Amino acid sequence: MFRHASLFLFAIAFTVPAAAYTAPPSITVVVPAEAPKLERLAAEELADQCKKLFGADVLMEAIAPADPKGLILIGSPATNPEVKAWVGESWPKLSPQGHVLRTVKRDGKTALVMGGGSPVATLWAVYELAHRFGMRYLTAGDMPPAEPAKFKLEGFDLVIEPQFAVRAFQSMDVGPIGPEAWTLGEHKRLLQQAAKLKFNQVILPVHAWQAFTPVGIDTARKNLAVLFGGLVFPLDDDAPGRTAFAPDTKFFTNSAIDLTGNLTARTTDGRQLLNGIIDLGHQYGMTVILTASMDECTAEYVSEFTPRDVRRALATYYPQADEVLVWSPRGADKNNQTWRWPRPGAAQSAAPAPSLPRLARDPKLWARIAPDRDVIALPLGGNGAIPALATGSVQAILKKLKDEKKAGYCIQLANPADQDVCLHFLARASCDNATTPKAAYEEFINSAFGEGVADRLVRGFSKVEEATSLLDSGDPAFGELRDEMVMKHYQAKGAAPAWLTKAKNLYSEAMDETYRANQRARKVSHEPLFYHAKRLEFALLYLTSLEGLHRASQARDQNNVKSQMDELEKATESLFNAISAQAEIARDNSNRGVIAVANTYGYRPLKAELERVEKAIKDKK
Amino acid sequence: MRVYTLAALGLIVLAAQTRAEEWRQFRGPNSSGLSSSKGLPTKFSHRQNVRWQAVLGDGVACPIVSGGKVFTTGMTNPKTFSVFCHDATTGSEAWKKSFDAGKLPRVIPQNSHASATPATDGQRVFVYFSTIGLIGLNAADGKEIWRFSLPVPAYLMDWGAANSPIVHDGLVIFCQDDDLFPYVVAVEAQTGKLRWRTPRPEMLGGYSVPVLCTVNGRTDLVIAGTGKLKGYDPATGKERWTCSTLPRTVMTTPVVHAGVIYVAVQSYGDSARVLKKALLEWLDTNQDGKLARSEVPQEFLERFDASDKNKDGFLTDEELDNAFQHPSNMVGGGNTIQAVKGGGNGDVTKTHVLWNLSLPAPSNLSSPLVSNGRLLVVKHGGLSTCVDIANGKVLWERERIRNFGEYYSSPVAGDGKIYIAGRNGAIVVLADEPKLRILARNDLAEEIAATPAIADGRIYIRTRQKLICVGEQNAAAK
Repeated sequence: MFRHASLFLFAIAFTVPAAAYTAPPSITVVVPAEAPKLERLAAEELADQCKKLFGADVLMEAIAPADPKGLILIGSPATNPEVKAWVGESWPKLSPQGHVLRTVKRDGKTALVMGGGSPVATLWAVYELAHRFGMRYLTAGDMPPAEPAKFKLEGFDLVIEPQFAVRAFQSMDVGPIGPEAWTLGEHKRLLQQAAKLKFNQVILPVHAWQAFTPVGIDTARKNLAVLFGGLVFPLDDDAPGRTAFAPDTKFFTNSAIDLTGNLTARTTDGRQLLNGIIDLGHQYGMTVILTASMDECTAEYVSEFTPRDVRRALATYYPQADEVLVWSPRGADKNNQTWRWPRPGAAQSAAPAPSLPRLARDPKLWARIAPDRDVIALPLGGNGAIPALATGSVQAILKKLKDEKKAGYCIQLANPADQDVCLHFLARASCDNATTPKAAYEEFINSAFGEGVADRLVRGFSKVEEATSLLDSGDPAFGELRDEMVMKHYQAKGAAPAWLTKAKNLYSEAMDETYRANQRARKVSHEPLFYHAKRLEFALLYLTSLEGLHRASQARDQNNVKSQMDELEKATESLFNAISAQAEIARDNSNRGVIAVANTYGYRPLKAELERVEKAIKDKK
Repeated sequence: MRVYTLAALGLIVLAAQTRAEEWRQFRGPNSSGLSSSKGLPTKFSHRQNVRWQAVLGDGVACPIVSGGKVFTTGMTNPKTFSVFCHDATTGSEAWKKSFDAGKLPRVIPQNSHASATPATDGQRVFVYFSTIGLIGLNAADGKEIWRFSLPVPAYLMDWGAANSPIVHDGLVIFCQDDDLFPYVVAVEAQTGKLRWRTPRPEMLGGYSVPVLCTVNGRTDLVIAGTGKLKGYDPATGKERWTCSTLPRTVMTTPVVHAGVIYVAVQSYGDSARVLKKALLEWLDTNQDGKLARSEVPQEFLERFDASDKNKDGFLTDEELDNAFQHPSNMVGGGNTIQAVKGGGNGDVTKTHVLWNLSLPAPSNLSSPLVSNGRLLVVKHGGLSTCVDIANGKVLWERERIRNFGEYYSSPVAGDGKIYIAGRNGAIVVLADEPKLRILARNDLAEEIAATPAIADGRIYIRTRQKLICVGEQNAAAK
């Protein structure tokens, strides 16, 4: 009897409902051998996406076979005779950025045409198709739909014209959390994904003291060919989150540039990295623009050389760059279109462009910035230490850009994965002005994570957005990566401001919603949702630590040393836990940059203060 | 001459065999964490006093040591589960046996699919893997001797399997407290044939390893679980006694000393936090206060349907109360360190509890250490508490060991030192004394969730990816 019961239980446990089996489709992709390079890439990308989406068996052909299966034609009538033959006169009028996805019929056969007004637009058509089948483009990679898509040729008739001519992706600039810390591999991954989101320009702001500029440019700084403005972020055995780094790592850096090398070696590394990025941009059909400012050069240099001289020097150094723009304290380089672009941030201010909430809601700020610019900087997520979201502000700014007929925008990313949903909105809204953040979020979430998750995550995202706005209005310098970013809360008088506590609570609620969504999203990997939950946990614990520092400060001012010590200890522990939460999901140099910054500007000075107070107590005894 | 040589060789082998310290299961002898080793290092790191190291792949299971060999497990790739045997002294790989992991269930990132600590009887090594079951391997060459299939455990919160087998009296005993069909099972170590299987329907997901407690010549198999500490006859699996003093979720393993069982458990929330509250917090995705069928993991749908008495497609109120948590065992959260006298019969709740402390001290993840008459627990934040086991008197409470963070690994002790591995990869060494004294903080530079093993003056540390052996240069001679 017992044995039968066991068998019964075993049988129940092993019973798995049989899934209906669908054979993977066969797909024939037609692209001529002499097609432009980007259209060849479009065909390869299509094959890759079809394999990921459907497990499809993809055949690449130069001409359409007599009896093709799942026929897809890549290109335009000008680049692919098969497209010309199938589409004939009905090819739509397209701008160089316009792209088309169209089901066509011929002799009772069906094909799908994917093309554009230029080869890169054809590439975007392929990415659009994969999107329509449920693929979602995260900054860390592609995410196939939770429910497998079903391949079809029928029912496509889309002509898409981007609303903004410039959709630029800034791929360099100052700061240990952002692009300055990214290796070539990380740049590659991000540019691949940026191409899928239809970005068409790469902006590379370089600074005179960085390893990316010719040594001949005279800079007011003594440290040349360095990273992060010459700041060093050390890591020792005691540093929380150090498991996210290779053993024996002494300080955080971008491994693409060996800072222990001499000046020449460092600039060689820097040049190699930047050239690599330029090549990558071109590979995905993007225009690559170098920008620089002479603000950082010595007065003597500025008086002797013009922006044109610097532009020439940089253009010689990076001949592959499509354009070089140089600003000078004396004015813009009139020979190119400097005026159209956001000026590079002042070196080592680590201060981003005006925050998105302020830019969106403050007409005076907009009036001060916008008239001079044809392309507006969108610093998504600020400096990237704690996750920030401002999709609503992005929506408002896009409307202003459109109303004022601006050329477009240039996004600045620090911690890319924090912005996955915002980037999804931006990409969709750039081609369809009816797109709303909520609709874009739901489209993103339902496909990537399955049913029943969107409601919670949308709530979570809105709480993060509210917290972002609160922190920004509470202290506009809150997100700046400076040595006093943590300890200033210990030096402050009085209790933690209400906005800080409210923002902390919002992050807590957002984290709970994300964990709840993660529990529900069972058909897919934990990884992306767990990542976001841990980033929110980092924010919650970081803000908890700052709150504790205000309490410690109050205790100190009241000469209550025991309470001061207790609160300091709790604040230090909270920061330790915050950094550990970040370390759990650290997968790129932005994540590691957060750990390095939080250690250098937070944990280490806090621990030193803790030890100082502890010693003072002991000495008193 | 040849006879003399052989005799000498025989003596050397014999000497080596008698010297080899055994650490045959999770946390060593009877899960105590105690080693008889001398000359254990105080200071070491990923670069200091490292005798050898090996890359194994992802894993959180502890190493075990027997006959001069170290046995460990790891995911050598996302689809392959491997068992490793290394020479304990040199680190040379004696054998490696790999298994196709099959379709793996989701587990929380803190866990790993290579989570169960192996056990050995000296001749055979026994491993558990969630999609395979129990496997018996020849300790000498890794050859598979038998396999005993078990259902894949199911967890409402995706915790994933992490229970470990033990060996006793020719039986491999394995407790699998999951959220669906919890049980304890014993199979013959030699053949893998089922000897007995006892359901534990009152239990929820938990990770307590069975321990043995002998009183007046009778040995009980003791298992901590939801709300209850239970004693079984290890030969038959028949329940002998129950002590109903535990909270809902039990992640830790008790320790037995001189016929007394010491338990330290922390289960999230207060005593009112029964399972329903956790389910409504985390599984009720739309937060409407009831559990829809679509909100329940696939494995639990049958249970859902059986519990949905009014067939409205939702579990509410009483339906939800009784769906997953046993109606007779509606315990909630709480903290406890307690001493329970072994050797009882029937319900011993009122008769065998020697002392019971409700301190905020216990950890929910690391198990207590009983050494030199003291019980030590370490919890999140590196907060340690020490209790005199004779009377439950607190010697120190929630004092920092100077290493923040989480503690999944349990303390182990030997040579007058206590080793506590933090999840951040730091191992803090304390003096095994009545007062807290920190001797060292050693950085292994990689996450640690597994409890280290100790044998013959060396410490075997399973980090998330590696097995690292540390010891003084002349440890074996000592």
